[in-house]
Amino acid sequence: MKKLGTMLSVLVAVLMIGCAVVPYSQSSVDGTKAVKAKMVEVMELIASDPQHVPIADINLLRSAMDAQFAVERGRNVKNSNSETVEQWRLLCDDTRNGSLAKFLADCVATPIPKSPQHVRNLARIYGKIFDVILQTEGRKQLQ
Amino acid sequence: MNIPDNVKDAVNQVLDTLKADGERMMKDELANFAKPTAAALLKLATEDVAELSQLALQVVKGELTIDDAKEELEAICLLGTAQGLDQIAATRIELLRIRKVMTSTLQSVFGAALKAIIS
Repeated sequence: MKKLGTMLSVLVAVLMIGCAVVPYSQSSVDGTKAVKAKMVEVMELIASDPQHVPIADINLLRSAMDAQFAVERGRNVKNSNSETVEQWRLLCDDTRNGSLAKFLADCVATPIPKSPQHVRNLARIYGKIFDVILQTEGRKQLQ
Repeated sequence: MNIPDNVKDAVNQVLDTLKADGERMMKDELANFAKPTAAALLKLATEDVAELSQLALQVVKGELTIDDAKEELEAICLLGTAQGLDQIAATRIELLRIRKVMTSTLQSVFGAALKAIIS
């Protein structure tokens, strides 16, 4: 009986380690908020002057996105931050239809003026994705 | 922008269909889930229907092209995936699975609505 108890304890410990979630990070929240703010700014630049592609600002935003994505991958020890990493991948994968990275790449590659309404709609949707990432990070405080 | 009455009627009809199909599909799918999961799904799906209705309306008004709408639809799908990832592990897999079904159904409904609008 005692042996069974020990085995169960070990099993529970292994399961807990397997399911461990990375600790909440305020700097991750701050970094995500900063990238979101930059996204809103760049999308508004694109929307307000469709004839001009703000390439320098787009490049800055892409660098900021990639940097934060790298930070989240760095926190992903034993898949403990996998949800956040996958959420960032949705934004940063420029081969994925509908992603922020693909939209920005298209803006640079094919400088056809975009409809301001379309750009603002996308900014709102991407803003929601950033909010979901922040919500996921906030949940780590409770775990 | 002034929209002729007959176009307004057509749009309203399409939006009603979109809403009714969305709600019926949600009810069918949600019947299989525990209450908390169903509530989370209902919230997500309701948001989807609202987003798609808004998209359809903007296409009709000429504020968006069909290609724009498609791109936004794809971004909305990514938002759905991000939301699925945000759920707690116990319900995440079923949420992701069911949301995939919902998104695909909603996309079909939306596609039909767009066809009706432009034909």
